[in-house]
Amino acid sequence: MASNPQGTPYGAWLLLASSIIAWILAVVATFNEGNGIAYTPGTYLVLFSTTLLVIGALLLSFVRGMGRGLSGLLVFLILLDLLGTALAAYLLEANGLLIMMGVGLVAWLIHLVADPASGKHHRTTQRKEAATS
Amino acid sequence: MTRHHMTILTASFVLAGLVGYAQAQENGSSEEEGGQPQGITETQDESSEQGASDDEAQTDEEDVASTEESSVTPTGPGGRVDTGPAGEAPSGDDQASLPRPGPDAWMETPDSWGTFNGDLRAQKYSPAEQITPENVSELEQVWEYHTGDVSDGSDNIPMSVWSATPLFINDTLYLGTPFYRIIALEPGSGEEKWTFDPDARLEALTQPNMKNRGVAYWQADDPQEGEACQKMVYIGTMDAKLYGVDADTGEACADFGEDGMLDVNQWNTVNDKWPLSLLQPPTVYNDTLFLGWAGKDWTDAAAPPGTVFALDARTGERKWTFHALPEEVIERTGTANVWASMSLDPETGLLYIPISSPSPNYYGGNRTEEMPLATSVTALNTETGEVVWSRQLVHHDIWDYDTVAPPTLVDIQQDGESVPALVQPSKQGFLYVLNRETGEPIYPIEEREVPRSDVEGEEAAPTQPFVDTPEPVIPDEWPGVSKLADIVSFGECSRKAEGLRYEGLFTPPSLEGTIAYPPTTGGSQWGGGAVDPESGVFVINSNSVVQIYRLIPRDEFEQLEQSGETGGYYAQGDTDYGFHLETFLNWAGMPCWKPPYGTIAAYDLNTGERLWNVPFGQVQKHGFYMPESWGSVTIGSPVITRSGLIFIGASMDSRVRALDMESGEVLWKHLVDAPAVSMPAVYTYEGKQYVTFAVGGNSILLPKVSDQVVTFALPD
Repeated sequence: MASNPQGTPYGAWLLLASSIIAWILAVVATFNEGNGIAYTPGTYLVLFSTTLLVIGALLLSFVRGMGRGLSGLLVFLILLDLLGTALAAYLLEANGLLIMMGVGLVAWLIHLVADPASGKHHRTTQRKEAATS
Repeated sequence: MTRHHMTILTASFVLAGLVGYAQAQENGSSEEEGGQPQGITETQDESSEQGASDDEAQTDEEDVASTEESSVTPTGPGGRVDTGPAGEAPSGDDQASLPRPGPDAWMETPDSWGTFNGDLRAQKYSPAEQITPENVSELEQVWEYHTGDVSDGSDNIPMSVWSATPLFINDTLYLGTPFYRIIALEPGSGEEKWTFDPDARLEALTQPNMKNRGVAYWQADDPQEGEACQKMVYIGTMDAKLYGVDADTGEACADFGEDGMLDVNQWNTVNDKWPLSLLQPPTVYNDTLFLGWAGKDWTDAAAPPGTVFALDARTGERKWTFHALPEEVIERTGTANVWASMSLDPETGLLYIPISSPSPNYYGGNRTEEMPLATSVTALNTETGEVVWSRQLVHHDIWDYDTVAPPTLVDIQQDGESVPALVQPSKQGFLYVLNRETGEPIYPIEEREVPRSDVEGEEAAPTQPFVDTPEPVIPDEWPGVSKLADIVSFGECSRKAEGLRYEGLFTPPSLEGTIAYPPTTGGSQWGGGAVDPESGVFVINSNSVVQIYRLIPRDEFEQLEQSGETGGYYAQGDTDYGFHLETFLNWAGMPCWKPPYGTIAAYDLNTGERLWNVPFGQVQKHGFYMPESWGSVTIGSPVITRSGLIFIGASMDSRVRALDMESGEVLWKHLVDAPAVSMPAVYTYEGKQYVTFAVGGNSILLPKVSDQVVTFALPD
């Protein structure tokens, strides 16, 4: 999936950064009274979805032992989360959150085309280690 | 599928009950129904003359609790006037006299906003010109104030519904609260000057919520310096108390009623099952208060019959009482009251009252007699209470089409001549443009055949009045099933629609269920419209809601849930049928009909042409805003400024807006704490123009309440 098996996962890191910012914006949207949407199911929903996004981005950035299938599933779920949160942000008229989802999508694409593949990278490394022992 | 479609699809899933809240509604705030005859009714005709002496005797019985001397005179078709000790009995001539006392000078100042509708003519118009379409985007919040009188219904106090127009007069901003306190504020800063607390009962005695639409102001023509109560502010309560306090100090006026409190319920002597709730402030003119009341017309058949009281502004002494229902029907029906605001022509002294429908709302088999003043607009002589003319807008009302809004008075230009006109909005969506001195239509009103009732015992009127010009505020036919809602419900909406009776406007309620479009929500609501008296352009917001009216035979009726004004089961007393009211929603709570759900339109009254009609506001559900093209159900009213702006709250999305009069385009909007269902006040204080909104919310739109008062102005 990724084309840079040995490089830095810039896409995942960017995704993590945008997710954390999005989560902070979701917290503000949820608890900042007077914004017209605070304490509504909609803001609780984006708070939950951005929390999942942060977790997903953390896994993508730091976990190197995932199998190919699991890694692919994670990437797919992150995409769904990004799209769903973006739609929710659009309907909540939470523009900052919407922008962060846009950044997240760019990061997701970078990860897809440029980041090292965590599962593949792990297996390649293992084979090399086995060959040299 | 485009992104826009995806947005709409997703939005629809969450839309759910949204319009649900909005719709069913209003039966509460409206309260009652109508009679049958039609057309203009001259006052003091033969039928009204007949039996005058009998009426006197009978009406005296009604006022049994009153020790006042009174005389009763029949007036108009079926109406009666009961003259009180402070009043002057009608002459009894065949031709009702026209008073011509002239306007109160203190009320005619261009800088003030001294009545519920801005002025007595219900024009909701300010000549202020500082804020213009060009600079309105710079408008900023100057101050906000919280009254503290708010309830979300979670404790012992019912939910608050606050629709008070702030009054600016006497260099003070006056507000009434849903807990029936009066608050006086410094207009430029929002600083509190004084408050008055009557310690009113905070119980849902007639309405499901604690409601208030503000206060009224009066002052003597020549106020004496240093003398108390030369200027007074009035507030009514749900339990029928009317309080009068000094406008400068907030102290109760000892000469008004008993130590500042008048018990209006002393005149509630017929079918007095609940108190005459004083939620709408009185209309003030010529040292007189004109006072209607609210109640409920869905639980009982026989209910308090509609009355309007004229009271001495200083003392509360009764001048006259106008009765809208014929004596012979009040054992079986009631209401036909005036719960909305009135308008008044200060030049002629004619009072225009929107009379609601008789009880119960949705079945008329117990009240088949003619009640010509029910669901009408009626002009009264302010001095005597006599009917000068009346026009019934719905015959034998079985839809709860109360006349709910004050007619807007304006002179229009036709064939080079100025015509004294009024515009009467209606729940049924028509705008009736009448000569306000005679009641004759300026644009044609046509009696057309309408569907008959198929319910045993009901006698729906064979014809109803229709208006083509100006174009009604909502379409002639119901919008049809929304494909989106139908898909989401796997065809539930279309299947349900096929099983319902619908033969156009005025299809009677039925046993199988009738599509009611418009239903009790309107069309137009109690706010009515606003007019620019110089151009003759009239602006009004309206709703497009579909509800299902279903009669239930008495032996099958069970008093199940009733969500106040939002639907449910209504007993309708001991009549042959109970009633079920529901909004046409699918399982997900999505409206089964096509949007838009709310619009705002402008009309040229000189030609009858509709200039523009655009979706207004946004629906908000679970925090999500629906597409602007869907509009929002609205409660409240626009106001107009000479500079060409429309200010309005009203929508579900808790925003207040300024629109361009030329196009309806939104030029400015600002988020507030809840739907601003009151009309704003526009005034000039110390040379600066202000716009103040009372932000209270209404459970019909959303379960979101507030006690915010917020004022906007241009930066210095």
